[in-house]
Amino acid sequence: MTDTAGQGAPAAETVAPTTSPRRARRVRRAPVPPVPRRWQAVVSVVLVVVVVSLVSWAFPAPAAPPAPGSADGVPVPPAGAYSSSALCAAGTGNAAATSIFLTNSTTRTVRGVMTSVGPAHGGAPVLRTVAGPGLGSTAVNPSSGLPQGSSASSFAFAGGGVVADQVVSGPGGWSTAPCASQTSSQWAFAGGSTTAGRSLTLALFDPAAPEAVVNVSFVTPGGLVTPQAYQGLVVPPGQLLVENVGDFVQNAPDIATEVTAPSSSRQAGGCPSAWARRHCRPCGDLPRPPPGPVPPSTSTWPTSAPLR
Amino acid sequence: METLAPPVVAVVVAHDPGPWFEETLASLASQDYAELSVLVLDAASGEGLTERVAAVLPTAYVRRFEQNRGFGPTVNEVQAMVDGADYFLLCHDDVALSPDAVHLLVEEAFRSNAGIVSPKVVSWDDPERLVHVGMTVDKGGSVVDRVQPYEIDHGQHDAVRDVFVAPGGSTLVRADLFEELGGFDPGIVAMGEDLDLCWRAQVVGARIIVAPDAMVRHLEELAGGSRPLDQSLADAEGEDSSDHPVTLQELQRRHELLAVFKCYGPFHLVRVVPQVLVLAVGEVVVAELAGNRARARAVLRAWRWNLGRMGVIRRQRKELKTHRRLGDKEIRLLQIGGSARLSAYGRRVFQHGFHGAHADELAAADDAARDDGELDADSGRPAGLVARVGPAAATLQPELEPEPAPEPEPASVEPGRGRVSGQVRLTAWLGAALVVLIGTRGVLGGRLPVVGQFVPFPSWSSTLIQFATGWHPSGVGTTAPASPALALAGLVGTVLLGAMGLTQKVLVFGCLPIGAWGVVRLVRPFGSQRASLIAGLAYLAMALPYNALALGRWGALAIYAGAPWVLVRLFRATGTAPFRAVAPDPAGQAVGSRHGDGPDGSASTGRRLSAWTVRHGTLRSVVALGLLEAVLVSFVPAAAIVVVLAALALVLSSCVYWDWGDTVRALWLALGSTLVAAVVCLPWLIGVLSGGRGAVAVFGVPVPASGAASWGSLLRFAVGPIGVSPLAWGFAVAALVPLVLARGPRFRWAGRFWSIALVFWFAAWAIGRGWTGGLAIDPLVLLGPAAAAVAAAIGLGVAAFEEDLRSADFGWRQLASVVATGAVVLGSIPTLVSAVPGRWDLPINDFSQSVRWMGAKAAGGAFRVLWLGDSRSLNQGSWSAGDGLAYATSEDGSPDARWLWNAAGPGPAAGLATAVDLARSGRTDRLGRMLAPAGVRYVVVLTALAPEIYGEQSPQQYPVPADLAPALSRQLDLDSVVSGTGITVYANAAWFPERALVPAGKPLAASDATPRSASAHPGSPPGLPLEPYAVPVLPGPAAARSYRGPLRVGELLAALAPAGRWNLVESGGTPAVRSSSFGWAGRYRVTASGAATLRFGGGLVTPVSFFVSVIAWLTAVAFLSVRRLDGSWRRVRTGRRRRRVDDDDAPDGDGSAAASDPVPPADATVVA
Repeated sequence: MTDTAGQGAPAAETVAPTTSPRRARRVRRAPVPPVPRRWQAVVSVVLVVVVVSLVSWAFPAPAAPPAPGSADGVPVPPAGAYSSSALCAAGTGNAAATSIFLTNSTTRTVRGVMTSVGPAHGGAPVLRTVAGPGLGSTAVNPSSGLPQGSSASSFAFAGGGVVADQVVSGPGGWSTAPCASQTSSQWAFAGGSTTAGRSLTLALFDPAAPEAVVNVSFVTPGGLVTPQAYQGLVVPPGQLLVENVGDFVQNAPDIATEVTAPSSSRQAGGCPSAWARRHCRPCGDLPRPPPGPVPPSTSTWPTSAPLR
Repeated sequence: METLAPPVVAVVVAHDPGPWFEETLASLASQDYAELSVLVLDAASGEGLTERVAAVLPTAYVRRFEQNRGFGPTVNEVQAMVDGADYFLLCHDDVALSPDAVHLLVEEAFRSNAGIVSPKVVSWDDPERLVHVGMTVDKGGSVVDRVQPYEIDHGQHDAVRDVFVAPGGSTLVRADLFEELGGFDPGIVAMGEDLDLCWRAQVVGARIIVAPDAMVRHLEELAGGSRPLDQSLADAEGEDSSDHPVTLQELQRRHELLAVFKCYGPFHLVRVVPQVLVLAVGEVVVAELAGNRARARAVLRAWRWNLGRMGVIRRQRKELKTHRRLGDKEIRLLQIGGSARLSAYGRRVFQHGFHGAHADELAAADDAARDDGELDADSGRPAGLVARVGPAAATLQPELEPEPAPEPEPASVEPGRGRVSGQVRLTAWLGAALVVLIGTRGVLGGRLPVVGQFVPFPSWSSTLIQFATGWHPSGVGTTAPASPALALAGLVGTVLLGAMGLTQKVLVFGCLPIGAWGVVRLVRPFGSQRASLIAGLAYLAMALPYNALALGRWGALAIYAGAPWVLVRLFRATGTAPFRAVAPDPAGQAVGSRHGDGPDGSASTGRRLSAWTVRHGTLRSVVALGLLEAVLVSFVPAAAIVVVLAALALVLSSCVYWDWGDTVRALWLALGSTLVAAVVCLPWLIGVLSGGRGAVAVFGVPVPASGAASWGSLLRFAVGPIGVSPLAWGFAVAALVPLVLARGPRFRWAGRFWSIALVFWFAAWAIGRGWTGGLAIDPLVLLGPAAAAVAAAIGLGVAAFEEDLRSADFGWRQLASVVATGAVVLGSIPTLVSAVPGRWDLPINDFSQSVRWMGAKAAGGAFRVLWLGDSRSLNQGSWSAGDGLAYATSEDGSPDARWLWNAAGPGPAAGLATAVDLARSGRTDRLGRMLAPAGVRYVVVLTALAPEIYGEQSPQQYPVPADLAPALSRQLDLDSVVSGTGITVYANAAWFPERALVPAGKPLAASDATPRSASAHPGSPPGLPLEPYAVPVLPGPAAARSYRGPLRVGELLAALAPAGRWNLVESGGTPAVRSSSFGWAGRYRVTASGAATLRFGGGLVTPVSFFVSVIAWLTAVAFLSVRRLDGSWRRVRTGRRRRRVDDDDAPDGDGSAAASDPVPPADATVVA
């Protein structure tokens, strides 16, 4: 009897008559008809499971998109933006004239408000309406109306596509650097010196709503310098804080500066974002322009490198 | 003899007493209390009692009345007849006191300074059986005995203690108290006069105690139903008993309600009566569904009777108020919590099932009706009757009701095949329940953690109001009708007397037994109890429901509970064995109606009804499944797709079996039931469809495909933290057995089960990969039917083993069966192991605790919270913001259940998603200003189900798009205030209150702008609010529909949509001029200082929508209950044997649409 899957069901038993007294009664099972469509069903189930398994293996679920790389701090706001900013710190005060050029890459005029502040406790901020003509450029003086000294400016544009460049000019020449278009929690500056006859000033500007709590450290040929006074430095919202690095790092020929807004300060009610900029004066014969801010993980450097 | 004992007058009210009366008199004559006088009041007995009294107790006084006015009014006569008594001993004519009873009662009255003293009441025939040892009541006046029916007296209740009610029969009452109370209520002729008197005694500060040393035997002739109720008494109460005789149950119910109306003070009356009313409505509905018209009629007539005598009740309340010495708060301490009637019913259902609970009561009612007296078996008041006919009697008094003969198996099943003894089944289910309880022990006691959809409910009234009113707070407000789930949850909460935490747990954890029960019903037609048992246990042991618990997926649990019941319905529609539809028995048509059973042969109503049922059988099936589907859809809108998909899977199985006709019928049923569900939920459906293309979001919000469960995980239901072990493959392996072993109908159904499982597995897999676009049903929801099908296939394997392998030679088939058994056992291990910690991996801490501080911030003005994250991590209904990101809002902190089922479309709240999208794409750095018009003060980003606590809990992670956090960090007006594991909270510096006033003379900075242009409005720097001069006004709770408060002259800004439905009424009653703000919000010109009210006005749409909903639901329920009157009553009457055959009835009670034929043994087919 052929044993087919599914034929193991109970079969009717029949008793065959014995022909020989020596032989016991022989029991024979009646053939059991196969269950129709059993194999079709089994194969269908197995097929579906296997095929989907193969497809699942061959085409795995897409992985989560990676986190975007850190912005370099100076991307051009998209033309379709509803609002964008330009954040320019480190106006050089009296040592050199400062202008900010607004370049509009869109075809329509983009209007906005420039808010300029002097150093902390330097008076009320100055608000001025600005407009960048379509496919054009315009220059504004950020120091107008402010007392003498360092200044910082932030622009709030009712649109995108506008970049701002800060130009410093004086008897020794001129230089230009782009303003940042967004805040960051980390900044690094690769140059500076506090040797005799030179000074290094660090300007910290918080353009955002909450106050920023930052830590500042310096890398010098003698090693890492972490002045206690520069830990937990509070930058009030919308204010500019100017610090003389030479007060704590003296007679260092080369200084790299790192500014961070530690996460701990966030829990204390601070802000993760800060915008810092360094400028030094005098640096050689020419007025040293403000070098561009460089977040540490950037892959792109500002196009306007410091002049030497 | 001169004594110092206070004189006691025993007042015996007699009306046609039986032969026991002499024993009553003799017991009084034998009292050892010297100062006892006996006064017999003959309440118009047919034959005078004077001679009978004189023969036994010649010293007694007899006073005859020509009219029987009931016990209470007759006793009241003693106030005019007796002078100088210190105590009255109020006796029925069917009690027998122990010789020292009066002595002990008076002694205890003195010792305890009690106003009313009750003895221990025992059975007349068997004094070792307790009848009453004092009573208590619940808040609704339902009387509860302190002893079980016919509990054996071991002295366990022999302590003197305070009770709320001294049961009638023999009660010692201080005469001055009786006089102060004015005696019994003259309106109460029978049943409940003791409750009324005792409650009033409590109000006046009297103490009521039970003195168990004094023993009284009580025959309870009237309450026990042995003595018919004199209908003239009911007529005297003004009740028209021409159609239906007034029953004892009706009297009891009306007098309970009367006591509630009369004895509560105003505050508690307002608080309690709505609860009693809702309970009554629920009781009427359940009674109608069960065919217990007498109970439903009793409840309804009780309310009618009381409402009709409100004038009298008002006078009685006024009278009682003059004597009140105790407040309700103190009186409530003596009452029991909860609802005694509901608890008793719950116990009966738990012990005997729905049919069993009602069958016994119906039989009781039938017996009582035969004797012109019906009783309420739940209340415990007529305990004697409960003891005689109730379920407990079967165990407590087997001699009173002989055990029915052993039930034979259906003829087509070989006797003994697949049978499992009740003890084994009970043990198995108790074991399973124990495992579930162990696994759940950590969350049963406290509150459920707020994860996923497990959000707390507001109060029962708020939940119901939320359904009834036309405005809902999701997004920035919407007028889309609410999900009926709110009404259903509110009703459950009401039935549970407002315990909404318990309601949530019942609705969540109740899904587990309901689902297992459904699978048992699904497999039972195959004729093997063992198969049903194992299938049910396998369903309970699968990881799916516990993963749903761990992840907070209430919807998945609901489908887990409902899927087996849906499948049963669909299978019946195929009309194939063993789910063969059975037309009602023509012979039964004559007995289809209760009233058609009458001996006068007037069964025409029943016959007509039954004939109608035959003609409309299909329609009833459609309505029954439609109603079930409507309930499921209310909680899980995707249930509509699940039902249709299940039917399609059945049709798909026809590709193999080529039986299209059968399966297409199931498809038609599914489509029809979906249509019915749509009609039942019509207002809500219209609201969903108004969402346009976004309406598909009602089924679920797309989630990132990167986290989708793998095919293998789906096959073993390991879609969460539980069941990830390879052992979980066991269930799928075991389910293969019937496919290779079964024969006949079992093989055919095995294929169909696998078709269903595969279709739902595939659907879950495809949707998880995002292949269905916007249609994003939760895979856990889709796995519910797959799990039911797998469990049923496992059960089918058992049935196949029993039937198809009986005579097979030993070989691979037996081996396969052993392997399958082992696979099921192994497959259960992951679940068993997961039960050990006791929480099913539910976290201990949740994000609602992380943001609890937000509640205090509401003092500074109402605000909204914008929640961003994976839709599975959010605690409310959400909408898609693209890239797997979902968004939702709440008010003044974390959401509750009112935000759980939101509208299909976000309405103006879509602007919030647009703003977030602009921020992510770098097109704004002032997101806060764009969110400010909606009153968004905080933006919360969730990346996990709950906070991760090292060593304590590791909840499921739900990553958000990687660009979200940097984008939010870049915003100049957002400040990160909380940053923990899984949660980041940003404060919006540009926020201004949801309801804010800009005083006159101050500029409106940006209210004329659109939300988008507001982001670039140069009016204020990032650190200042968008409207710097706005001050919070009109305080009120979240999600309210009316706000009132003082306003100054100026402009009111209200971020409540739609603005056209919100009206501001100023102090003088004049409506303020309204205009638009930010394109969607409301702006009102306040012209005069003073109190003003901002109120939602829904117009006609709201009440119409509400009534359409209610009528649709009630119509569907009534349609099925009419059918039940016809079909199921007969079966209940015919006893347990028939009930077993009909056990395949769906829970909605649609019992006779289809019975089930057990599958004949395979060998029978071969022989044939």
